[in-house]
Amino acid sequence: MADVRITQLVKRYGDNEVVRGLDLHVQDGEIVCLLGPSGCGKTTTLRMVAGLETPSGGTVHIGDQLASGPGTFVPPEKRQLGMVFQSYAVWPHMTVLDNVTFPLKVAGRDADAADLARKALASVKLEGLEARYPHQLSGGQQQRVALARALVAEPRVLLLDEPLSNLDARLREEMRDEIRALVKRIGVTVIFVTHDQEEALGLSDRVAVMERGVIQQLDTPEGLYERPANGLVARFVGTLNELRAERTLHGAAVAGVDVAASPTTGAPDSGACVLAFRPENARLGEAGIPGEIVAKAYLGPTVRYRVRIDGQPVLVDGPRNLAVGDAVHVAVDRALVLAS
Amino acid sequence: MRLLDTRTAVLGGAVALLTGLVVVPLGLLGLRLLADPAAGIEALGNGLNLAAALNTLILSLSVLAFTVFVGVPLGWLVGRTDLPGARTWRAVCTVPYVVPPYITAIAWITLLNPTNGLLNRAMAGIAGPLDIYTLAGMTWVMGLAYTPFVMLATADSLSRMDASLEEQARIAGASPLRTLFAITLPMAAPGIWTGASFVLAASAASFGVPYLLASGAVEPDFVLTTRIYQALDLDPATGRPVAVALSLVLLAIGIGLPALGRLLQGRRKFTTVTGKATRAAPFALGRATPAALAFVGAYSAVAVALPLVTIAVTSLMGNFGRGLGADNLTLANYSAVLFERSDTLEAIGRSLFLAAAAATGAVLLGGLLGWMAKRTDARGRQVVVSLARLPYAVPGTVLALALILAFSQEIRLIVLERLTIGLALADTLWMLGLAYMVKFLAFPVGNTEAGLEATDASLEEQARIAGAGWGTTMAKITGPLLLPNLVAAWFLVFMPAFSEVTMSILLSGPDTRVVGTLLFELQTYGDPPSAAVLAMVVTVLVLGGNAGLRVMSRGKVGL
Repeated sequence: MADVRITQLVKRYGDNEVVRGLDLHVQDGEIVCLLGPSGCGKTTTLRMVAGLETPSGGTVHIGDQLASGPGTFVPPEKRQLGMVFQSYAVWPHMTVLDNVTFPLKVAGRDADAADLARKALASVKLEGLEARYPHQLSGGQQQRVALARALVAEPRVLLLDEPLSNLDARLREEMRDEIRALVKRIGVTVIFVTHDQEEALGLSDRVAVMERGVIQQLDTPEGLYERPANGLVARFVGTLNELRAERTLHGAAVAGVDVAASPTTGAPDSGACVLAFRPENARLGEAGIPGEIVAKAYLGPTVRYRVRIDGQPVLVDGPRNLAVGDAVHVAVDRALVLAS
Repeated sequence: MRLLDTRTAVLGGAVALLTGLVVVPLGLLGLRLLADPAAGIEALGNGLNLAAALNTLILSLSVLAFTVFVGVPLGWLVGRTDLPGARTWRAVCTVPYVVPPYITAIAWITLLNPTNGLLNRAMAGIAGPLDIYTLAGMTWVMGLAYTPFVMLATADSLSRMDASLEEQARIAGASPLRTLFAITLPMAAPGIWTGASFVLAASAASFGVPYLLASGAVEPDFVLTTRIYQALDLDPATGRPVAVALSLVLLAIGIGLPALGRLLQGRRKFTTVTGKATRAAPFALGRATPAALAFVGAYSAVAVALPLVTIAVTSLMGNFGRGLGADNLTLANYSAVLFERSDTLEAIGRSLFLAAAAATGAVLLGGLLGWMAKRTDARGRQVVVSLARLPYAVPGTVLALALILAFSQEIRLIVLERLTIGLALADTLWMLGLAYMVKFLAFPVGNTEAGLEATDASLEEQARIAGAGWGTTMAKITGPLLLPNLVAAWFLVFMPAFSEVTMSILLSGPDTRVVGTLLFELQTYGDPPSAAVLAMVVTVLVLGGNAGLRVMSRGKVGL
């Protein structure tokens, strides 16, 4: 087990800087997710931790080992890591057992390889499939093989690249909970990459939201959702309503109604700004910003209304008895001020 | 950190080997030309050489015309019409693609040589004897042999074409025949040209057929390849500058002519949006079916059945001069060639060994180079791959000459530390093996690249993460994953190397005769039955190997 310290990590492909001075410290035994849209540099960062890409600058420490830094580059096979690829990368020419014993055999641990592999397979509930070949397994089973293979040699850090994206919705949730329970029981440090916020919030201790090659915010799932550092993070995590507004002393004013709101990084002190809030943090009632209901959607437990305010649509949850065309007022309980 | 890891060392070694075997020889050939341009100009002024250049040009263009006129209709018939048994006809018509053209030439010499050709004897009194030992004879034999290139290119580009393009023409009011000439064939033109340009290059580079068909003539028509061979064979010292000068002309024709064609073609390249490509209904031949069958049958007869039967019959003839007859058939030639004569046995053994060694070497070297191109970001990797493919495009005669120049003692000062090895190579089996390996290196490179493209890189990365070094990953993961591609590549090198003659005749000495050179000796020095037995050996091996390859790869790989 080990912590991972990344400082001022840079990766350039020609003139294109994909990762731009990224800092991250993942604690021993912690699950940290790199979350961001495609092209934000998250997979490149993970591959640099794995040693599959050579950084253009900065350092990566895995435990006490300087894995890469100026003049130093430890090849992937010398880093003692486990990794599950998005494609699972289960070797098609080997049986399940051969796949899982491979990391032990290349380490020269032939004697107990089969025993440890069987234990690892049991921990992912694949007993009895040792002799199968990958093409005889379902996608979910192949992923379990990949997970067993990644964990069998007791890696210092487990790396997961979009681990759940190839599974169907039901299996995804099941696997997510199972992976979390398994890695917490073992206590291994985990870094994983995803563009799916639900996956990120459900699996991680802390989430690093990445955009444009740097980490915008590193926080617990709750902190991220409730206290986004800036508009990029707020927009990427959860649903967000945004209204053109005028900055006031304690928040922002829309259509002459002053709403209390906390400013994020980069928000102006005066003039034009954006008032942002989540649907569940607003109510429909007699007081607040005036608007008109333009659409109504049943979401099961709640009803979500589309309300037009000043020509701009927002989503608000409300009581069941309102109808399209009703004039309403939107009362915002918790809001943010963003730069416009 | 180690300065030189295994990967860098192995790949560096592969690139160095490629440099020594391709860049140095071809570079030396170029330097020779630059060093003494006067000799080159003088050589070109010689009437015999000029005639050879002209003959190469005439031969290439007439073979091109022959293959297009026969191959395009054939390709259309087997690829896009309701011709009965189209799949079988296609397979039959592809046989000349696999059997070396010199075997077809030997068969036609047996049939149409002016003194005692079997057909000429049969036609005696009806028509005057036809003479196969002419440029027209070369065009006939090479045209038959190279027609499959155009046929397959035509059939493939027709089957890839979206049928809606044709259907649109029908809806616009065009008849099926009008559609064929206004839409189908013009659309298929770029694909057809790919096959045709291959024919141009192969015709200019061909040695075996022009050599055999010049050997029996009173006034032989030389082409560049045979003239280069003659110049080197008569007197290596004075012949070499002539050979060097002529090889430049040969390169210009063999590579330049197809390139010129591609340039002209490039202006009208079609990109069609293929949404969901609809499979076309085959063109209904209707009342033309018998005529179509006659056409396909005629080609199959003269290009496949007649040559193979002729070779088989010749191999069974006791006395070639006595002609056909039940009392003149014997298996004695087989027992002699395959079990008794030491020269044939040694040549067969030598060819088997050389082809296997060359195939193994080419698969290792080509595999590494292909891997480097697809899995590293090494600078210049695309150049390296192009260099590995280059020898296949260079005429065998020119390549052999370049290797002679590089590994003969005259360039001892240029080849630095490898000098002793370089010296030892000339006139040895190694020279032949290296020549085969270099010539056919393009196959393993291409197969490796295609295989890696279809294999996710994460399979290899996963092994590195799991703790395996580069060498272990290559041996345990990459190698086994690519095994089908590599085995196919091995056979693709082995088969042409076993029957190779163009380079072998220049590079082998009297003690290192191989199947191809011995076969030519026997044929030109009056033992056609023994030559026919060797030809049968070659034919059975390449046809069997190809069939095996097709079965093994489920039809995906084969010549």
